[in-house]
Amino acid sequence: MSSTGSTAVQEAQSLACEHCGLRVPAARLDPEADKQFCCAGCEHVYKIINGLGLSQFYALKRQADILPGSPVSPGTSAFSHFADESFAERYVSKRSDGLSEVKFALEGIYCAACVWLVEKLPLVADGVREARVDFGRKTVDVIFDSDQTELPQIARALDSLGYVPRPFNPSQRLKAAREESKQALLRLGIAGACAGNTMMIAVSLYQGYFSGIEPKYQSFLQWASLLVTLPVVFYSAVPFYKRAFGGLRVGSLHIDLPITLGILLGFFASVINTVLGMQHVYYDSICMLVFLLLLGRWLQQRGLERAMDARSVMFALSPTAARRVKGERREEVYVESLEIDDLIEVKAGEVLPADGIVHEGQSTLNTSILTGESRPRKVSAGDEVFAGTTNLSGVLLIKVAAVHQESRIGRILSVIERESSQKSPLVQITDRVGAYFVAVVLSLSAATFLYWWLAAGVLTAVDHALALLVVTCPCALGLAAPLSLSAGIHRAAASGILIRGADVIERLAKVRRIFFDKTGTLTKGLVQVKSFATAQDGPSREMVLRSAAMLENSSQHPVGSAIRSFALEQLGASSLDISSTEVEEVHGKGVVSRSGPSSLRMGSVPWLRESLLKADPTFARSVDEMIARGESPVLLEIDGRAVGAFSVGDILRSDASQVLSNLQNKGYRIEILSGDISEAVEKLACELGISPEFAHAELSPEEKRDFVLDAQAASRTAMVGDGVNDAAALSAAEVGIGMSSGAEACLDAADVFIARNGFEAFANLFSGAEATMKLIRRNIGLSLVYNVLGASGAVLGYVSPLVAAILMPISSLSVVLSTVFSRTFSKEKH
Amino acid sequence: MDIIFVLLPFALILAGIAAGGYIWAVKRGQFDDLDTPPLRMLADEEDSKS
Repeated sequence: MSSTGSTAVQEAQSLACEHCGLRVPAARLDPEADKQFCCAGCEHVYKIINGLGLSQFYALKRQADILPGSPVSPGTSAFSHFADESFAERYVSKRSDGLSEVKFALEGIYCAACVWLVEKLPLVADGVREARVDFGRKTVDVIFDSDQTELPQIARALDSLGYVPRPFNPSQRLKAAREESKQALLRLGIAGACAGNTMMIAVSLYQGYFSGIEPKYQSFLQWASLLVTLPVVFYSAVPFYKRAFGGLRVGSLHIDLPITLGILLGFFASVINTVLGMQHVYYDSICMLVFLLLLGRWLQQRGLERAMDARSVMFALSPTAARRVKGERREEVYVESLEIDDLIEVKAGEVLPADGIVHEGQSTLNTSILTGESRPRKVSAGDEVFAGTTNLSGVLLIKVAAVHQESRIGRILSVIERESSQKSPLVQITDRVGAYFVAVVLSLSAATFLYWWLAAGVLTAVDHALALLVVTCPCALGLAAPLSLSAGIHRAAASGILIRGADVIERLAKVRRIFFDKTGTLTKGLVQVKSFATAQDGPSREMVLRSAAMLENSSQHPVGSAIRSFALEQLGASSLDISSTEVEEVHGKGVVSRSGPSSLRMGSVPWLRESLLKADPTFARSVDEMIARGESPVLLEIDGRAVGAFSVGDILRSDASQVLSNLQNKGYRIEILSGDISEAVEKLACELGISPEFAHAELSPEEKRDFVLDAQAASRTAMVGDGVNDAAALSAAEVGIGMSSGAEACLDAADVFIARNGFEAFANLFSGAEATMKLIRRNIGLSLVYNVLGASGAVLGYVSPLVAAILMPISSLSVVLSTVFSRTFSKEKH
Repeated sequence: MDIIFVLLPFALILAGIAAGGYIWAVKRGQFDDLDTPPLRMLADEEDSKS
């Protein structure tokens, strides 16, 4: 990389695409133009929109955008820690052709253009042979020649394209799951192919039963079906046998047991009939049965796999680089090679890579990832600091106390992983009904066989017992639950609700108590000025705004910067040229300036109470109204008199109030769990009509988790959140629900992810889950009706194996149709 | 109808070849990632630019 390349990268940091807001890659930077675009497409769209006079779109969009901040921005790291030997050992694999391969997780892969750009990596970096993006998992495989290039260079090249690479090492469990899903796909595909072929042969055989067939053709067709059925019985269906016998070994009747019996008995009876030249064979029924059952299970499995993928990407998101200080030297090292008592340097804007004690320097930290507290925390020498928090202002020298897994965030993440793996596997209603069903079917078949053996001889007995086993084969029953659940998941996805795993719906339908996080979930997570009042006998409105902007000119505090941007917006200015004002911050109260012509103070109502008493009554009343509305006014005082009030608050999501009261009316208990201070939380609860006893404030992530666990003992709970500070609680709850505005990383702990901004989806979520459970019960009922009618017929000898074989697919078909015409998660439902 | 003794095995062999292709594709990982290829084809190849 040349030096001009790296300066361009530095500039790119601050430049966002005028149209889409993504970072502008270094290669597309145009120093001449005043608008920058990330790609030609965006530039064209921008021209079209502007040309139509619709540029207001961008103003609106800027207000609506709540983009989660990326922990690291491009161009800030030299990636020299990628050269560490321990790093290469862990992440790089050698290929048989002598090239090396490394996998990175990438942030910001959103569209086809991103895929295209990243896959052009070989043009940017020498020695890179190929880059393959996986869009779904947001990873890239880079194949490179380790003699020609090194990892840091590849990383820098990716970085210069605007995508920060993070090393990605899929866990053993994930690799095993992927292998398993390949196997499942093979089994499914082969069963499908064989089922199709046996069905075609079966058509000729059925034709033969009705209109007569020469024995040589019949025998040939039967042998051909036998051949095609072999792979199904001895390859595709093997998992059923394993589960059935596994169940028997621990003494339980698994739903797969009658399936296994049906498959094996049907197959061997057919083989015997084929050898003896008898009419009845069931090859097509067996193949179809196996195929449909495998299909249902595969659909379920796929949802689970997605969830696991996403979770492992999350672990790749914590910082991997640290800047170690040795005497005068600074070196970038791989986090895992840090040792306790090493000194590391963390600059403003960087994420702390390890827990430790501040050795030198002063700064403010954004600790919201751990505590949920939206206000920055001040730290100075001797203070304890934690990995994962973001350094906001000064440079810190930190003495390392705990790294990676041992750090606080590491422990929280490991709790999440443990708790997610503890969650019950797919507990299906069918499994519960199944055990009884199996017992009944088995004893019925035995009874039928015995009766007809005594009454009409062994051949008739086999015929009737087989008809019974085929007709009761729980094919429709096995399809009922998975089909309804996956239909529910797909429909939910279409309305903006992503549900991970079919069992989540079952758990959702049972939820009675819902916990909401405050910041970012119920509110938009943005502090803003909600209303503004001036004293009538005071200075002009413009003067008040100007003074406020001046006082808060250099404020880092979210409230201060909210007031500053509000004042500047009202004044129509982009910045103020005030250089000589000295502003002093009074901790926890406000700011003071005495250097100007008049003395200015700005801060909370309790602090400035006296000057408010002296203010004119109309103004004082409007301040009281603000407080009554549950807002928190910040007063501006000029020469001892309160002259302006800015009511500041986080903005409530517009539809939250209505959706919550709807849920309350339906009998759900709504509570708030927040890390924020109790006044703020109580105010919000009040606004939403939630009684204060259900608003719990000042909770750490661990306390949130414990709270949810406690509640979990008494009733089924759901937790709704958006931050990593909620992640442990999301995992602990029966159902964890993540909001769209949250950081991508933390949402992986969630079972449900609301992809649309806003609350509308909630109304659908719970009623949709209940409707789905109803559908499952209807489908199970339907298939049981077929089974009971068919079974009674077979026991009495009215159903021949042939009729049974026809009845069985019809029952599956009715389950499919019933699901297709159901309206779970549909928009009209309220 | 004796032609069936030739046609059916022939059809099954064809089906076998298709199944073989499917096994090969699954093992090669063709079904691992179904999201990226549809996006990839939207990008023009370098040499097709006029």
